[in-house]
Amino acid sequence: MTHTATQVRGLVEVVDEHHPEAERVPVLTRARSGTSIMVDTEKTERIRERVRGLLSEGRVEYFIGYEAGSDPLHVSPSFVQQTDEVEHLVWNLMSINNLVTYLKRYRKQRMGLLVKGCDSRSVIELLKLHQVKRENVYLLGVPCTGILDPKKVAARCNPAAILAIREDHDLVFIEVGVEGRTDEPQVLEFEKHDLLFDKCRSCDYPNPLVYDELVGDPVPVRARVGGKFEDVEHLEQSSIEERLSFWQEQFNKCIRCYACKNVCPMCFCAECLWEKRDPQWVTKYPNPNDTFTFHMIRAYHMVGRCTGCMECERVCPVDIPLGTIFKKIEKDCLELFDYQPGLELDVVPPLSTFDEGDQSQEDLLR
Amino acid sequence: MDHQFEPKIMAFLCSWCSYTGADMAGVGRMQYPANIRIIRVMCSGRMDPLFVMKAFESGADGVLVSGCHPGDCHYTTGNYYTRRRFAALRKLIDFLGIDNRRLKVTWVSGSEGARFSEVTREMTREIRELGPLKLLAPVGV
Repeated sequence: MTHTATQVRGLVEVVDEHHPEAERVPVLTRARSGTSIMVDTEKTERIRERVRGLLSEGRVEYFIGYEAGSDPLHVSPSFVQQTDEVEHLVWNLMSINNLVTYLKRYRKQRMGLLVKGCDSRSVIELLKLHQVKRENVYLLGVPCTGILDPKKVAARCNPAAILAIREDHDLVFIEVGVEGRTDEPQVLEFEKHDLLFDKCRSCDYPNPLVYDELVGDPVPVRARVGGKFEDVEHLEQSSIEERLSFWQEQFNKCIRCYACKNVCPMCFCAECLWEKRDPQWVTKYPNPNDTFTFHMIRAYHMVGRCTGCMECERVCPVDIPLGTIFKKIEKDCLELFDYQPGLELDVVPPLSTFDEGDQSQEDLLR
Repeated sequence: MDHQFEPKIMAFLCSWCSYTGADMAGVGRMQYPANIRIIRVMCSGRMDPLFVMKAFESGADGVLVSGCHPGDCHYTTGNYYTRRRFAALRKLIDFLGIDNRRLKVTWVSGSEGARFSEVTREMTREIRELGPLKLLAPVGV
């Protein structure tokens, strides 16, 4: 038998005898919801230990991290207030959610937050825009080697049959079988970059840029796979009519659920333009014209602000390629103002300042 | 009967320069096309890109934003911000499929009635060539 599975009060430990050199890790842990997920034990233990410390010292009122989600390929945000809840916290290859979005809601409290490299850029932007006080947040940074896209994993194997997911440098091993059955599970091998989220494939900042302490050692930037702006450039080269019909088709799917704006860490207006009744700028029902305005203006509001966490695209229930719009914004921002949001605290956002002698912009006006 | 397409163009003019400039065009009997519908704003810096989108959405085929020349803003710096914002907005609308010739930003001072007349005639001609903006997607609702 290649696997020994011991089940102790909901905790399943799978040890792979084929890889004795691999750390002996309990790869499955039982979530509150009853599902099993794989965890990175070393980091998870470090996180739990630190959060326990932070809560008992009174450094933070509560901590936001990840816990097991409703299936093995997802995690949920976890809100920990008491030390006995710390056991719910996990870190694994699926920890995609940008938790910084909760800062806008709980900015008055002292809170701890788990941040990856990309998430830390959102924190920098929020600090820069005076939305949160640095002393109110305690940032536990996690150097990140890339997060797996559940959609890409599910396209390659049956998510219900996944027993364990392991990574070894650039390879990901997925064990599939039926839990509880003794026949040998199948081990599928994948190139890691094939399973990564698109944003992780072109990630420049895997290590947090702002943090109070790091969990684990900083990791090197992974070699980029393909160009970052490929989809943007492809659309830019098509004709204006093609672009309009492309976006109309995409926006026609929109049900105006506002998931994109609610998940966005940078959408923090106390009085939201889209929810206003007087004046009511857009209709409540998904009228195609208003939907176009909604996406256009929301994108415009992100010029010099969007850090490219791509949460909007991830949460979109109808799969509108919002990431393409925000990559376009990032590209424009670089071209026009030579500015990338979320990198440095003391650089003024490009639309909050001006340059009197800037002739290059003058030419773009007409 | 010859049905020439007559575009509707919304012009957002700053109170201190461009609106006065348009007034000057009228006083000086310099003609400008009736396609232009003027809305006065206190400063071109007041222009929210949302106004532009609402104009397009409500049937405008073109939008003209005009303010004081850079350096001459009544509020000292308003039009510098406008310049940055609209440079970014014009790139964005083009990407989403609205030809950016439909959105122009220009500077017209209070004494430049002739220039206002010229700018509006030029823009009307260009948009007449572009044809109507078909923003509304061909679906129900």
